[in-house]
Amino acid sequence: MAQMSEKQIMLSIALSGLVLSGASFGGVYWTQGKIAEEQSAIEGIDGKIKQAKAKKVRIPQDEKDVIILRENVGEYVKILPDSGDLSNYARRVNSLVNRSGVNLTQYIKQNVTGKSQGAFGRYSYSLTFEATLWQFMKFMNLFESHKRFVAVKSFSLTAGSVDPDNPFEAVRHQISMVIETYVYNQAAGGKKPVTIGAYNSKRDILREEIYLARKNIKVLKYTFTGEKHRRDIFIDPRFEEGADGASVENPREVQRRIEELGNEISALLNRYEKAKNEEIMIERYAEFSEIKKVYSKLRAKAEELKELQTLDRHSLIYNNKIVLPLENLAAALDKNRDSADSWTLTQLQGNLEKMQDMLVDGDLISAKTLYETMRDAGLEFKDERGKVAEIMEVLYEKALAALEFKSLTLEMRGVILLPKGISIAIINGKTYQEGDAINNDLYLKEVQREYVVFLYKGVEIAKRR
Amino acid sequence: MININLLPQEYRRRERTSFRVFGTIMASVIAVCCSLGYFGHVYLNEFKAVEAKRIQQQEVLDSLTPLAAYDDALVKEKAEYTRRSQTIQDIATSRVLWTKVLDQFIDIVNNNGDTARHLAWFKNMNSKASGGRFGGPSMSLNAMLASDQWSRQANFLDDIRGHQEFVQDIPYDGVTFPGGRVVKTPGKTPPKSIEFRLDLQMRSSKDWVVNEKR
Repeated sequence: MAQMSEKQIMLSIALSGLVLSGASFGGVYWTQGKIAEEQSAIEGIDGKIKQAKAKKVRIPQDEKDVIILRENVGEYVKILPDSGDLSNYARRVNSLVNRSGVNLTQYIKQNVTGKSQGAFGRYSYSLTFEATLWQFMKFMNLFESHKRFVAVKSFSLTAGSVDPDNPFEAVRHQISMVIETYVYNQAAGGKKPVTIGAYNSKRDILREEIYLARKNIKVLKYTFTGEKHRRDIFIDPRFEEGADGASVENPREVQRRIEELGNEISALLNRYEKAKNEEIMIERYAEFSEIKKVYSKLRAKAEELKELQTLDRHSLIYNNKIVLPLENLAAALDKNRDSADSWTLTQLQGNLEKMQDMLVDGDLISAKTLYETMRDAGLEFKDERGKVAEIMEVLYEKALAALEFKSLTLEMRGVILLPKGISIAIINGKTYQEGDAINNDLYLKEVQREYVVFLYKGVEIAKRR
Repeated sequence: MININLLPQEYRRRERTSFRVFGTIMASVIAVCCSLGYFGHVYLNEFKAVEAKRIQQQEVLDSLTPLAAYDDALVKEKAEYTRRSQTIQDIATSRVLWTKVLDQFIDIVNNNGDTARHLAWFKNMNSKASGGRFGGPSMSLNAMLASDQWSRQANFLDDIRGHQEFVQDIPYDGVTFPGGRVVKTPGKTPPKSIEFRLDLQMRSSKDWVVNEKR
């Protein structure tokens, strides 16, 4: 091989240097790529770390949420029937049938169309029965207020007809009803619940929050309180004309009588309200006593109306205008009886004196009325007022005896006064000595020039000759 | 001209690398050394540092992964239980209490016993808990009114619409009376009555007042 010239040597050295440098720069370039890859991987990992850290931070909150939800869903589903309840459903329905009085003719478990809702299996039943409106309402309400959730999905009612031979018997309607409920399946989806460490202690700490979250769900219920004197809206309320074209009981006349009596009761209630405000107690109770008498008469009238066969058609207005106001009045009058405890000792003593004055003056009827008014308001006391009341009662009995005595026929023709012996009086044509019995209750006690003293039912009564 | 050197080898002048060649060699060596040095710096210093950082971060990530997976499982379970909770709430809140609805309706029809304003009764009634015109429950009744006075029908409509609690979930046009006809029933007092169809359409359960309050 020919020897290389200097130029060639220089060129080859330069080229070799260039190649080696190029290879080095190639290596640098490759390394930079690797660095970029690594940095990109680091960025990716950093992102994941950031996410993972964020998740780590969220763990306590998520654990808390899961515990609250788990506990509450567990609680919520208690409103739903469990599989055991479903097996007993026919028994349950039978019990509600008995309680409401409906006549169940068909009970069919329906095939549920449409999907069940996740972990909640849907069950539907169709019921056909005969019932009065009020039995139906009660039956439906028993389902709706049942401790396990049941929804009435639909119902249809066809009005029954009135039996012409027995027009006042309750009319039963044809009813069909579809009810629906759900059963919870916790294992739905096949996923096992996450194992949360120290679950029970965490749950105990969250007890308050679990309770608060539980308030989010509430199954509303309604309590049906019954007929309340309302008419069945599925019965023709018009009345039948009699053979001669006239109704046996004209409903307008019945309604007029109800309204008339209602007005009387209303007036009596107004009178009671006025009497309540009477400042003088004795007059107040005298008025209450009068109101009681009128109340008894109105009550008797109300009972008369009750005998009407067609009253059920007016039962709501009868109840609203007569029964309820009468009950209110009775309760108010009773309350006044209770409130008589408010008699003070001074008032009682004042009335006792008044009664004594009346008896001394011979005003027996006023004394009797005063006592009866006070007695109606209540005169039973366990303190020292009781003694005063007892004295008043004794005076009242004396007044009664005196009044009875006044009605006796005692014709005194003359007396024989013997200052040192037993005097004699001629009464109703017969001669009696002091101490003689005129009849079983009446004795001649003492004979004086101006008057004769009798003992009648234990009460001394002086009578002018 | 050609120089011929006839001197023996030991007397000849020693051949030396020329300065140019030497310069070239030195330049090449420096260039190669620098480039190799730079490569070494980039690879062993920068790359290895980044690689070490990546390995370190990976270790951090590996330590956090089980916690993240635990949280993911919690989130999934939360979503599932939230769905269940929502479902049961939907089930509970979408129930229409027919006893209450019917009880209030009976009150309206009875009108406290006042039959002068209207006296209605019904031949049948159909109700559905959903699927009505407004997406909620609906009631349809074949109604009768004891009178041939159409004003009584208007009174009845007014009383339905005037019962605040009854219509709280029924929009204004959810109460419909699509006309009617006067029929005569001999033997009854009054013999004339108005027969008509009464439709009551409730709002969807999510719009019920009771659910809005929650």
